[in-house]
Amino acid sequence: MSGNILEVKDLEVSFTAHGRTVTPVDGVSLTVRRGEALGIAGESGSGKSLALKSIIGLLPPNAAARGDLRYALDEKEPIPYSPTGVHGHGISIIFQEPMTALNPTMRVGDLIAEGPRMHHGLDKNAARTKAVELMRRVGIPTPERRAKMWPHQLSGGLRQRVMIATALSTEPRLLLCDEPTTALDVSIQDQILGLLQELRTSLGMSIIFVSHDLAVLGELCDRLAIMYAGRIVETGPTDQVFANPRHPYTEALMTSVPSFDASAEQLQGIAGRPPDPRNFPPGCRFAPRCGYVQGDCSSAVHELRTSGDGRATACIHPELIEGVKE
Amino acid sequence: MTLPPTSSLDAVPEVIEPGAALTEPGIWKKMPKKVYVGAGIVALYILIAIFAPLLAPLDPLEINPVNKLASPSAEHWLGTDELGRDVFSRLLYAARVDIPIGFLGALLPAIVGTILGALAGFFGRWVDTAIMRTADVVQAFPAYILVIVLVFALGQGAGSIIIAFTVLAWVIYARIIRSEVLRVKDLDYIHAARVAGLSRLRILRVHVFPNVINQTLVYLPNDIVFATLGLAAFSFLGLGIPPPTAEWGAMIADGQPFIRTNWWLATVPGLVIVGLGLGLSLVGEGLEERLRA
Amino acid sequence: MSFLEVTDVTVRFTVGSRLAARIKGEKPPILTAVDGISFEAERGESIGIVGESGCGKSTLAKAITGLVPVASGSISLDGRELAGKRDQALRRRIQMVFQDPSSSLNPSLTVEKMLSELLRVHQVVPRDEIADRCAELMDLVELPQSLLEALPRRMSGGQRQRVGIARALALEPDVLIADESVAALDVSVQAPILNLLNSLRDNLGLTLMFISHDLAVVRYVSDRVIVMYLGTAVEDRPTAQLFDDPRHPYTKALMAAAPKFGVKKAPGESALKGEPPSALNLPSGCRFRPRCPLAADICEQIEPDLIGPSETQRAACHFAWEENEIPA
Repeated sequence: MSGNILEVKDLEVSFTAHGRTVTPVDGVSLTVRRGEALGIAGESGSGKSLALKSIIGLLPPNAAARGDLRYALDEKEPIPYSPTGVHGHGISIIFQEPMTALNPTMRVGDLIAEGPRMHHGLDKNAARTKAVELMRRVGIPTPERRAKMWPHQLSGGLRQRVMIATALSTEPRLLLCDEPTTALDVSIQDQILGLLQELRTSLGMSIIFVSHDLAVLGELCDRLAIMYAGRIVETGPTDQVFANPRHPYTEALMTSVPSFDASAEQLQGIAGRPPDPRNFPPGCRFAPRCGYVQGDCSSAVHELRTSGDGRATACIHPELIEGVKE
Repeated sequence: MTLPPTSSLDAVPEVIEPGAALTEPGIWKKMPKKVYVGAGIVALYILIAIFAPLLAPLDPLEINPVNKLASPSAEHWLGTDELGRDVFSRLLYAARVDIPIGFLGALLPAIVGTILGALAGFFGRWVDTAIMRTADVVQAFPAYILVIVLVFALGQGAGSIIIAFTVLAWVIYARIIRSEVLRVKDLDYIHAARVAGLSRLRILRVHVFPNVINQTLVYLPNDIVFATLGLAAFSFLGLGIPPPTAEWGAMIADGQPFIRTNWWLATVPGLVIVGLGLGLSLVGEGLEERLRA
Repeated sequence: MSFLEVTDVTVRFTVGSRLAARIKGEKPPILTAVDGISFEAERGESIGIVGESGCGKSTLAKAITGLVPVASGSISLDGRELAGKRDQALRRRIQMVFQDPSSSLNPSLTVEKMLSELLRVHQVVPRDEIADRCAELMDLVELPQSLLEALPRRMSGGQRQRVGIARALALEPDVLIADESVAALDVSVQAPILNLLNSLRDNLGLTLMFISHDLAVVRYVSDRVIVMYLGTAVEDRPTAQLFDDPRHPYTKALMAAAPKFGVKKAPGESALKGEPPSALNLPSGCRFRPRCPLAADICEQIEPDLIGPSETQRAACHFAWEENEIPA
């Protein structure tokens, strides 16, 4: 575990219904270093959100998770994975929609104070002071006044800040972020990303940030993992992945969003649709939509192969896409 | 700007199974088993009602003062009542009264309530105010008093009972459908229909109504149970179907004094009502699982 | 005289309960969602409207389609007034594609029933040609004809959005308004929809109004972009110039805030501080003043007009045009 706060090996999440088993997360392995921000990118159905939730034991009740998960706050003995996750051991999570994640019948001050009262045994007044302090920490203006408000009285951006304050209240070493800026306006998203970056550097927190938006991940994350159809297809340092993707899916994701500063060339998009988890294609799961597809793509074993430079790709013909780049 | 939470999309990939039928199976397909069981029970009751004259061994109205309050025997399977009438035959004939009144007594308020609720929700303003304030008035009035007044005003009989049920029970349908219409009315496909210049009545008929009517279908079977029980209760109180017509509630009332000696006189009609209620409840529950999924 | 003319359009809503306000003896609060917007569009032009939630961009779209009444101002299409009551024939000419593909299609109608209803009611084609026209519409939005039999829940988000476009096109409109039409879609599905809108505009000569919070998306489909803030237009300029050289500080901030590939966020940094004030309680003078880095005394006293060196180059900031040369 040297230097890693989290190691996930061969994580599998499956659902069984009507005698059929689907496995939307199929053999995901991840490591997160202390203080590092890891971004997981993928579209709907890629399994990115399920993979994140299984770390903290928030899978739906009908889901079954298997795999090897080790989590270490420091150099001490790692905490092994349990089906209920490692909740409360210095891991917190924030979600996309704070309105449904915050209990609407509690004032926001009490919501934030709940963690310190339970975990640190603070009395009511001390917890309340702590809540106001946390609210100030996450940049909520006039925290004393806002602590007495209900969640619905706050704007989306402030609610997300409240959720971050709630997550911070247990002093996490690892913060899981499940699309926390997707429902926000661009300018508010920008503020929240700045806040997360600031918290991470000043508190030395590690972050796993899940999003469909590569550009958002790029603003915050040191390393990226790209997920497609339940598997990680590429990992590597953010700037290298952007400059020189080694999996066709990564490249396709980058070229399918209109670029902000480039002139209007024709956007590519990706032909077809992601495969049905009940019926994944053999071999490379991206092969049916891939522009570089070769004869052996749908038969060869596609596991994530690491190269010397800290990058890994599941593509067996990475030279094809690199050839295009140069 | 509201985006759908991608986390939920994440859990349920919106991908079509290759080769899967594109069209939805009709709503009657893929029903939970309990619907079939329940429908079977209800069908049995309906068949009994239809064929009661063939099935009943004796005339349900024939009085025999000599052989009153007889115990069950080969001739009288469930014995005779205080007037010497054959209880089993009366039980079968009663289905011809209870079932039509139960069904009509639920169906009419369902139709009236659904239409009024849809109009109230869709047109709003004074239409809404008029309909929903009327509903408040009906609901605020003690139900049994209202029925008693209506039955006295209209005279005893099946017609009055059904009218009384309609006056009372439309309110609940109107409320259910109104709130459902209010929800649907603000969805984008209704906006799209308005932008397309479709008339308000057409929007209500084609785009709103088919998407709210499920709520009525789900509630209807439960309401038939209520109506049947209600009829039994009124008959028990002497407000229902006038004697000598056989009716389950009246039979319970008539058998009640003899509960210590001839316990089956009141108990068996009670169980018969419970059986019908069970069948309808199964249908209602199953429909709810299927349609609200 | 332009093809589509929107002049000084204002839309107001009463917020909260009228009854509660009456009991308190106050007037119910009135929210001005769109506050005096004017723009023109030529036939075949593509206008992008960009802004954050609450800026009134969707309300403006709804006002133009007639979904919400206009409090004042005028909207005219081809010289005919649209504000107030409009007849069926006029309604047909402006159609809309909605945001959320999960709620924009009637769940109990198949695609064919949905399309043929419109074709029949508006008598777009003779009855015996309705089936053929449905097939043509599917071709137009690049969907297989087998989907005509499908119910919405059996289709993916991208397919549903294409059906939404087909439904709008069924009425052969002159103006197509797309309100956040790709926001709810996966990134890999967005691009084909944007390309489809672009090609439909070229091939059918549609006037396109594309509404989005996403500057990059708007840039991809629009000839001209209007940036909205709290119900007003703050900048209205051709796409290329707007993106090369934004003049309003809000436009600049929006561009800075948009995530870009390969740009790391500095800790605690953000392009725009605070949140927009409530539309019920606007600041004096310029609406952007409380968040504006350039705010000066004049901004507190005078609300800037949307002006510029030419009709096509306009910005609503006192300092928009004072530095360097006027763009051509």
